[in-house]
Amino acid sequence: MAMTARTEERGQLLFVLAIFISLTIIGSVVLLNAFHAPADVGATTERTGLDAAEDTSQQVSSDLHDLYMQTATANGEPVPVLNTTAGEHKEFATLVENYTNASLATSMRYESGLINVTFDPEASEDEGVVLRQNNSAPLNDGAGNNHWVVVENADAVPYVYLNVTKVETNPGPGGMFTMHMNSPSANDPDNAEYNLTVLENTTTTGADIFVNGQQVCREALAVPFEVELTSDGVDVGQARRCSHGNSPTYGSFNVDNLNIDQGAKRVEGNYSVVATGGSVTSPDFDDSVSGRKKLKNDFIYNPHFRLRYESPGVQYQANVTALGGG
Amino acid sequence: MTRADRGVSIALTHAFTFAITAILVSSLLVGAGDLLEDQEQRAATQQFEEIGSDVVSHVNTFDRLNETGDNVTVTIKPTYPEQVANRPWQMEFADGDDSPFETEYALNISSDHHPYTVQYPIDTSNTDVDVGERPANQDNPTLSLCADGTIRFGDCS
Repeated sequence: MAMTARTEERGQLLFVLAIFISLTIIGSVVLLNAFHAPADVGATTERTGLDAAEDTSQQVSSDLHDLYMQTATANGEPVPVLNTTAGEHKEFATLVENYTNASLATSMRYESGLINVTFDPEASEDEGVVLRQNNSAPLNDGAGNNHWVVVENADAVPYVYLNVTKVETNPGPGGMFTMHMNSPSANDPDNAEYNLTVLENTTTTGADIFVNGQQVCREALAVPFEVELTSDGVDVGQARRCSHGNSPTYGSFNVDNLNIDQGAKRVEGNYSVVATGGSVTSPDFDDSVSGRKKLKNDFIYNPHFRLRYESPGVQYQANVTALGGG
Repeated sequence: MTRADRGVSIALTHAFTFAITAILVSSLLVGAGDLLEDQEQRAATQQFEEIGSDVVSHVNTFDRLNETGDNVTVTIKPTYPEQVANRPWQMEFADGDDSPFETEYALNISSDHHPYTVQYPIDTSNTDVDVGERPANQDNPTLSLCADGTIRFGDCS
């Protein structure tokens, strides 16, 4: 009996030790397993949403640029500007809204994000000007040649900046007057459009004028009115105005009609204008107004959009600009 | 051998058994403890790398997104573990000068229970990073790109 009791005690002892060792090993394994578990990084939704936001923003920007370039016109010609006075920007806003709806429908079908694009004409105002590069050519010759340039900052473009400082008036029939123009440093160059208006006495009409066999004036003035632009004594442009009628006519003689070219580039500088011929009397102009060779300034250029993209993990907003070129 | 000697032998046998068992168990516990400590450090580093690479990835995406327009704002709230290797942890943006990298900014991830700080380079070209910011909740931080071109933890104020 004693031998049996000792054997049972030894068995119990071994059993307890076995359990103890087993628990130690199991505990170590559990702890090791816990430590080695990968970090619970739950950023898959955010990662997918950010990628989608990036793709969406690039796609929308590209689409808006294409839409803008296809839609914008000036004077009926395809120029990347929106005429504010003609209400073209409102039509464009409608197109953008339709685009948003179409994009939203697509995104709802294939993605989980929501897109909203809003045309912001207010933020797009005064965003540059359209300049004619060649006043004698149309804005677009239909062959892909654009005779315009759109610039974000008009001051960065060489231009002829005219400011009338002196005019000789009442030169009398057949006389002449001289205007002195220089480079002012003030005024409002972005919004001015200078027209030299002269009064022509056209009561006497003359015959047609031919130069080298080519008719240049029809029923011209007895003495056609001519303007010659000089810079430092060098002719840089000239124009002839032909007119006819039986009553005195105010002819709007726009300096933009002069082909001002000095060394193949348009420069700011000191110019003088000499008008001869005709019966020139009081030039009607405001000598406080100056001008530059600008087509118009009430266009929307580089339109701005507010883009909003929302997905379950991401909120993205940006102001996107559809660059018009330049 | 007398019967008395046999009795002594049994007692010695038990004593040796206890002694050897105690030594084995103690060695096992000490060894397991060292192993666990070492593995804890390695596991923490590994998890920090997962978190850090994810945050840096988001920052890089923000940096690219900032070029998609003007006044770009982006907000995300990723989910990270509340504890790393069963320990609390924290992260913050830091100046790159205080890191071994030649980048302008860095991301520091650390834990009070680990003797070192894990750092990750942040190289942004279009954005700034709000240095010194820590998220309010490490496990669900708000990461924002603000309209002023700054990336920060928390909402844009």
